[in-house]
Amino acid sequence: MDAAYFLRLRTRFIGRYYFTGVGPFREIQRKIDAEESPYDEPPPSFDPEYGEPAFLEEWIEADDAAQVVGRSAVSLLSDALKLYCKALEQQLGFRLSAEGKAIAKKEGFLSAYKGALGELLQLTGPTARCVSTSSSRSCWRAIARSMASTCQCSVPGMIPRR
Amino acid sequence: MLGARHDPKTLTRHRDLIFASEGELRMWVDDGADPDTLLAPRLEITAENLGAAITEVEKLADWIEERITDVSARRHDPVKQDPEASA
Repeated sequence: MDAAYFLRLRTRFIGRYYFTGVGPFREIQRKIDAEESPYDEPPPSFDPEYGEPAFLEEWIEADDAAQVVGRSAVSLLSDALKLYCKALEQQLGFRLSAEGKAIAKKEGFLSAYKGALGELLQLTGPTARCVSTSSSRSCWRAIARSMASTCQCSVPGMIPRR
Repeated sequence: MLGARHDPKTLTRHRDLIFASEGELRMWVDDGADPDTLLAPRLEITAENLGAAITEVEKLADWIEERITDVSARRHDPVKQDPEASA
């Protein structure tokens, strides 16, 4: 099984899902900003003395909706990465140790797999001392930063937490 | 309405957050980067930062794949598996 192939299928899907999902909400915001129909005339309930621009509520609601799509996309990305790591277990024939599982519980799956994969790839020879190279470190760090946000990104009822 | 903010645990471990409002992140860092602040940077997902996260995930996968190729090559090459044996 080619774990990377399926990861790329998922990341491509997530990108398309996000752009397709936020499109209608960004369009509502654009129309409100540009005062295009149906937002060219203030609603009957609009009171200019209130101090707020017309359609402010609709603009904020569209922004919130776009954020919900974004958060679900980040959750999907986190799950895609988790599935990739699980597939690597199968492809490389390893399992997280008890210690690795404890790390996963405490620090997240990324830390656990970073340790396990580093160990596995290091064992095979001096040129594969992967986790200590600067390019891999920056990669893991960047992903850890992204994934750290996913605990706040899951949308209840939409994306099951694991 | 959905103004979720980064939690102290995340802020303790990371200062350069990908999904944070840029202005709020800079303000938080300039104010001393206190993880327990009430004004933690809000989560903000944009096409740019989601794209950056996806790129990082794909870069990591590329990097791992490269190493897996090395691992497989070594597994199937007895000389590379045990360089002393060939000496």
